Amino acid sequence: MERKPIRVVIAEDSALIREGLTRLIEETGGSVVAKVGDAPSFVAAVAEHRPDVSVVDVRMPPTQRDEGLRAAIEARRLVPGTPVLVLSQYVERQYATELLADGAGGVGYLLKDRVADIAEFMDALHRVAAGGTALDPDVVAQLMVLRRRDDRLATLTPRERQVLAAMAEGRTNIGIAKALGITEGATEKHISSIFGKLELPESETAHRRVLAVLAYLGD
Amino acid sequence: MMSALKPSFVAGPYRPNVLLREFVLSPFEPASWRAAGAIVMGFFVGTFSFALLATCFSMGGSFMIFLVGFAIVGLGIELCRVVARIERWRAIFVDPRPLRPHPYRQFGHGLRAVAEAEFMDENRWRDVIYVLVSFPLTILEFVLTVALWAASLALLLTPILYYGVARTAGDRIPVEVVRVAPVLVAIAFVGGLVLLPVAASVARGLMVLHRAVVEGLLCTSEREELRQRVENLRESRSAMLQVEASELRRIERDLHDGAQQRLVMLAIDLSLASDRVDTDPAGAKALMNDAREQARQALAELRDLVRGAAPAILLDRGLVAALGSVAGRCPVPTVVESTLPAGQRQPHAVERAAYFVVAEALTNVAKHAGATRCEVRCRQGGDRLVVEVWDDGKGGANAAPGGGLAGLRDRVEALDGLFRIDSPAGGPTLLHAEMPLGPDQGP
Repeated sequence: MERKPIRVVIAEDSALIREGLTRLIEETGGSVVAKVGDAPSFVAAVAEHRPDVSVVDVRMPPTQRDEGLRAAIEARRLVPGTPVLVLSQYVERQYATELLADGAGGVGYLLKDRVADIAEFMDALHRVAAGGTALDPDVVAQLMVLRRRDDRLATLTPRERQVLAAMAEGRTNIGIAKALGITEGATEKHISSIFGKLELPESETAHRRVLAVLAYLGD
Repeated sequence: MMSALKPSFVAGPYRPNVLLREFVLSPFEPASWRAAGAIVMGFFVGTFSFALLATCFSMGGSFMIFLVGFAIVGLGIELCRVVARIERWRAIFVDPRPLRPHPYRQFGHGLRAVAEAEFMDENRWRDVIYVLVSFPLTILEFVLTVALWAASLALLLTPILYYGVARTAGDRIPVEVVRVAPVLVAIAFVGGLVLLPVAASVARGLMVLHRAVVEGLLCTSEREELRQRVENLRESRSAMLQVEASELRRIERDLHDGAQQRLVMLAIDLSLASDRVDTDPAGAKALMNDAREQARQALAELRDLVRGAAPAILLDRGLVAALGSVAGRCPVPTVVESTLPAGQRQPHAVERAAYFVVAEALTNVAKHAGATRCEVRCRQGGDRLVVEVWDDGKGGANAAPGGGLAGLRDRVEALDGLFRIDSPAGGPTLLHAEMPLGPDQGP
């Protein structure tokens, strides 16, 4: 698939994964402008190179906790809106919430495992680079499980639930249509039905839509 | 100091002039009056309680053939426990140094547990023995005390008595008596003076002895408590080792049955694919896709395994965040309420135990309870962390040996904590766990 070549910064302390990611990106026409192994270097690299997107591991030295996550948030504070795709061994709702807190687009939060599915990963990477959103289906599944008393989610049809999950992941209408194997027209019909049933506000961009959906699911 | 709790002849040191002074002044010591009063009280308590106990046991014994007999006997035993409280109080009334009551077995759920606690509790039977023993003891004490006090007072009053008699019937008293009487009266009076301190001191001494009986039968000593503590620690240590061993076994089994097998399949697929990539590219591609699927599932299983053994969010963000995460995964709508101070971490072992209690409880709720609502509550009570899981499901949960809930009990008891399940048939169910946060835990 033809895409504009993107400039990427990689922050990952495991050499194996670092090389794997580099290979993936370069083989699909991108270029890795910086490879770093800890949080402070990452923030510096973003400030210096202003990449199209950064790929950051949550876990980095020195304490191997969530340095990467904090560095991603810090980098977006320094360079507002710089797209960041955060990779993690596990995904937690709370981390997703923190990443999305500043309301700006260009955020991704994926399980490292997803990297193995090359087409999906590159799609997510480009989506984030373009200012959209890419949330791991696992995080979205967690969000869709927790429910309280009045459950308008129960009024959705199974197909509508699938569309809702795909929207929460940050996919565009085209992306949703392709992922679910339906037409774009059908997708749009489902989306307006969902928005009607859940009484969500209209949103212009895909990212705003994600925020609206997540705001609903996160209550 | 003259207000010694124990008179010197019991407590020592045996300095003759101090002893003598104490002895002589004893009738005027409030301690002596308290002792005498306590002995009088004890007489009534002792006889009354013995009578009641005898009634209960004999009536209960004759009705034993109907189960109500057991209930009456049980009533008698509980009566002795009440008497024990009174008797400890009585001992403290005389000597304010505190007494530690011995522990009684708690009543559990169900008839069998109640019966066990009631009839097989060593300390309840000690109370009964005390009532039996104190019956003759208190009578003896009472008789001695009253006799001595009455005698000494009577002797002291003889001059007045004689004076009264002499005044009213002076001319009718025989001459020999009149000559001898004053001497006798004087002797009597002196006798009374000597007997009075004896009465006072004997009463105090008797109460000292009686307190020893109370301490022996109705109280625990520090030594006994330490012995009990060592026993508890021994049990909790073995519980801790159990938990560790079963954790490792589970990890080994999950790895072996899950991820390991998938990786083997994966390797086979890749070998086969490599062999036929030239001759049968389509077949090779199919095998490679299968290999990808095996890899994906192995990763998912490893992820679950890690979350089951060492959840990262617990390590990174602490207990409340981890509880939110696990509650979010529960298909039953679950609310987490925590009044723990934000940003404060607990000792790691306590966090882990609390997390796994909640995680296992929620798994049970999802699988067995048929609940529509679930609540996880988390708070600090004194120096303990308290964690509770409540659901409105059908109840009937218990910590059967070898089961998941028994494992939770082990975890909590390994940390010297308390684990309780309240799950009547029909629900609701409440799981309660508390663990000390003390300094000896250490983060």
